[in-house]
Amino acid sequence: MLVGNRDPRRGVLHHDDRSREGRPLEDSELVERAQHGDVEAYEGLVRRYQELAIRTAYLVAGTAADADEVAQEAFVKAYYALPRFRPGAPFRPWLLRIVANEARNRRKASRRRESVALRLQATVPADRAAPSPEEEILASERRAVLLGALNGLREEDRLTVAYRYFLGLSEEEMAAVLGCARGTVKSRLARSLGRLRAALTAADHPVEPGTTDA
Amino acid sequence: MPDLPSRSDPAMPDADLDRALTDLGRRIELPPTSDLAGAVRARLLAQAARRRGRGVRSATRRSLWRSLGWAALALVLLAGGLLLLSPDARRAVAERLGLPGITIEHLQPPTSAIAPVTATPAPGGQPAPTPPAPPPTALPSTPTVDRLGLGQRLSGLADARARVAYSVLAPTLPELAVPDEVYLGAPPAGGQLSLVYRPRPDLPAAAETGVGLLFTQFRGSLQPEFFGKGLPPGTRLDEVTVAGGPAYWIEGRPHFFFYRDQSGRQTDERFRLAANVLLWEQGGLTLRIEGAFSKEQALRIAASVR
Repeated sequence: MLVGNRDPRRGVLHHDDRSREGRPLEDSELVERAQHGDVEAYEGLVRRYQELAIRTAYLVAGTAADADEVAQEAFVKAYYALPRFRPGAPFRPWLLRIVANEARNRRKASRRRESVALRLQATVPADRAAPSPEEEILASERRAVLLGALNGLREEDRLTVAYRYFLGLSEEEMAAVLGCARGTVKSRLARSLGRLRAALTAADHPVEPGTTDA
Repeated sequence: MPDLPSRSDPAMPDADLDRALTDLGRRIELPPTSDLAGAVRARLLAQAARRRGRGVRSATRRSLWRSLGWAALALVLLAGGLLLLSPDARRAVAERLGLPGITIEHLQPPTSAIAPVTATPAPGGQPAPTPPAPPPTALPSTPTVDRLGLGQRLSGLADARARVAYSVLAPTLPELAVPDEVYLGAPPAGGQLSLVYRPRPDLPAAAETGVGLLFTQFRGSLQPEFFGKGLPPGTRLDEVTVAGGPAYWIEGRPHFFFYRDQSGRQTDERFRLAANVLLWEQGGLTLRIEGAFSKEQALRIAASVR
């Protein structure tokens, strides 16, 4: 399953073959109609990507407070930038670059320094495997350790990992959001994962197994 | 259940970390998705209308207009309840009402044919009975005073009077003698004062603003197109009289309220949804009160403004 919005396994580490699937073609049709002034077609694109845009805005801006406004602003700006959109290019990375720029500008304007602190959902989806209560406790402890290590990373590393695993962005989309060349995404992700691994190892030492507090 | 490596194994294989992060990704908290399509559409239509009004054109805007057509957009309501339907006016959705600083636009979905505009200004200032406002719709933003963009917080009315060049007005009803918070924002030129009254039994919190009463004032003549309102179908606009002059009461479905950024650039208008609103001019100031109250209550508050 490679087309689901939330499937985090597509993209960078697993070769991105979405560009040959059906959905981008539909995008390009909607874009073309929107370029000719069809606002309803553009609304279709807004509905399709508002979730991704809001989540991206949240991660880049570092707060959920402005995420809706940032995404709304980005969609309006993107509409007026459509005449400059290259026909045949994928819409998602193009849009995400605008969203990320808008979020960065908003953050700069508000002089907010702190970056996003990732948290677990209050209610978690049930595991299909239905583990025993003991296994579930152990698993949630491991998750807490991993999340703690991730939140302890530099913002750039934390975001790189989050774009890939939590938003499921492709390599091209990550490049757009990070504002870097596509060719450097893979190595940046590898570096960030390396630092995460090192943080996990460091977190490991002073703690006896089973005593980690979730 | 994906495992992190055992604690005795510091070298984590990539596949394990990959699996653990993927698992984490299913449980990470991300903001809920709001439906932005309606707000984006309203902004595109409103901007197209204004740009056309100013003779600014581009291929995109022209084609936007062609596809929507004037029929899709709007009827223009003018002060006094007359519909002025010259060809140009038909094509323009925006028409300034009789208040400096305020633009009111009717928005209609492009899919519907021209229908009677729901707002019916009644002649003689005695408008038809208004339908009860439907429950507030889910809004794309969390209402807080911060998000209203009111500007800098002041210590109170005395502070406000010291900072602006105009004579500050305020409701004189005993229960509204002291606003809970006072803000000064700019633009508009000359500054806008906002008096915030927290929710209380007689002033319930408006879903759109989170406050009981928001009273704003500015010199509309200095920045004639600072504020705008986009009224969707289902929002009523009534002409009433306050302080001997024309006033406008807007109620029903939440409507769009926008203001321009510091440079006045149109692309940076910020929209939010507004609750019931009464607009009027008094003492050279354009005044606005917003809240979840009735028209009668709004008029009573307005009549006390000195």
